[in-house]
Amino acid sequence: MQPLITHLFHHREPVMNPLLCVLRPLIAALLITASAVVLATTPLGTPHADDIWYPDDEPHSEREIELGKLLYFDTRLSHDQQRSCASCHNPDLGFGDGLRRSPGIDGKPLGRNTPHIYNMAWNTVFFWDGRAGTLEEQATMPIQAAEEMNLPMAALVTRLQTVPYYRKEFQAIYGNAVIDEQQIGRALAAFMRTVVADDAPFDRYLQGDQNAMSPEAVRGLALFEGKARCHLCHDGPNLTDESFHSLGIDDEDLGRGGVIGVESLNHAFKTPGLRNATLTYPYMHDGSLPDLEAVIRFYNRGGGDAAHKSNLMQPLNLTESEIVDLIAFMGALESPVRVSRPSIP
Amino acid sequence: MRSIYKVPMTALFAGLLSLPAQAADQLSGQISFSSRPAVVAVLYVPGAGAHNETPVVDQVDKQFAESLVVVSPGQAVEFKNSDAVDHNIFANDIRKNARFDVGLMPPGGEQSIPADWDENTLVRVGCKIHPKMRMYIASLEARFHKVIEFDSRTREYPLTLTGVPSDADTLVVRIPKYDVVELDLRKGSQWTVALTKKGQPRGEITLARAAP
Repeated sequence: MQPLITHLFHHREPVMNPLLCVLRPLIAALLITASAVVLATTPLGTPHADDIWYPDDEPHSEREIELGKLLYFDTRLSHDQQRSCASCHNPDLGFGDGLRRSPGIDGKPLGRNTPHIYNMAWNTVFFWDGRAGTLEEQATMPIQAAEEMNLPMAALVTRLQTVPYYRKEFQAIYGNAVIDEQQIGRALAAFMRTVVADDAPFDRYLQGDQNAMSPEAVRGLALFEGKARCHLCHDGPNLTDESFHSLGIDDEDLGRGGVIGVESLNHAFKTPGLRNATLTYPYMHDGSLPDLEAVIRFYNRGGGDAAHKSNLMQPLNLTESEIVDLIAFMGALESPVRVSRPSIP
Repeated sequence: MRSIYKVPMTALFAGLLSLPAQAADQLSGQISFSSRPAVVAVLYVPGAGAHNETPVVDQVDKQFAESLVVVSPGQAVEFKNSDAVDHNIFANDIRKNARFDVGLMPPGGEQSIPADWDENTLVRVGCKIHPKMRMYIASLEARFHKVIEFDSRTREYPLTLTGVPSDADTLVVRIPKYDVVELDLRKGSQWTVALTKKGQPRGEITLARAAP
């Protein structure tokens, strides 16, 4: 791994604005001297297909993806047959639902904000608390969760077996006459791996199109990697370190600590990827911040006040125009994914 | 904590000098993958070896400094944290009876972990705080071994094994999640063997003995 000073700006650069050439090393030097903790970060960039982990090391077949898409939109996956995966992870709402917390099957709000599913193909850990290690494993958990879709796997298998289309497709794809949880997870994961956001203005900027990002967004990128310290956690092609941090939000939710039993990780939650962040409001694990302005002002204050807050969180002293620039850079990460709703068999 | 297994270097050199010189061969060839490459492989000649030094695995920049280390069964691996952040390394592979959790290891921390699980295994080690971190401990007796790292963008890797004992019968190839491959070195001087994962072809290894 490279030292931070060179690593900060290692992503592929377009021909750079001369002013930025001067500013970037200065920003890096300031960052290093201002921070007691020097962290190496993975360069920002565009996610690469070769870095996706597939269960069989090869991309899914179109047939498997289509099967997964039908399951994703099929309300048979919930006990009352009123909700599908797409009910909370709605493609028209940034693969979220726009709500602070989705209503559970009993109408009461669930414990956390619905996470988006953009670029899950590159993820190595899933859910806000990281309790699933593969997308296949993750995919079937909300189906069976009592407060979410509340459908035992055996009941789902029985339902799917009665549908000729599903019987035929599962048999053809997985070579087994009996549908099982593993196959359902694989099919859902195959579809979710196609929800890829990799053609944002930022990506075109990295490819050399200097006009792809506005001047505000270009300044926002410099702030993102510098004064605003965002990249210390939101790094790599998907702008997440896939690690767990406490932002100082004061609630009872133990997050990662509750999963692994490590007290120092109580109230720490997974860093969400920021691609299409403009579409995935509201924000934070509790959905407490309604828009990106509120998020950046929250970080500018140094985060929340709870004692468990990460020492990476500190006041940023961003000016009003710098807040605008950071929001503009978030806009440059927008790369909508259009998914047409299928006819359910 | 320093390992009790560590042998003073002077004693090690004295021991080596007293050993008879062993005839060695060079094998060269290629490893290729037909789909996404594996992460790492270890190629080794089974047999009582000389793992006198405790393998050290450092953690730097939210990564393990080693992708794979080889230890004799029961020998310790020493983990260090030279990073700026806490780590929490662990393994949980019930099928191999490998389960440990060192708890929170702050910057500057060190801990020895005895490889007291099943022999002839690869055990994955991760970090509960940084799930992208991954390395493997190979617990096996080897007279010779070589670790080869792969990357996601390259499918063909030239391979040279220098110092393979001339009287070696077998060369074993272990790759995480792949089927174990054994090359019979007693027969012929060229080998081509498929690399498979759950029986499905995933690549090939070719090797030839260099002319003396």
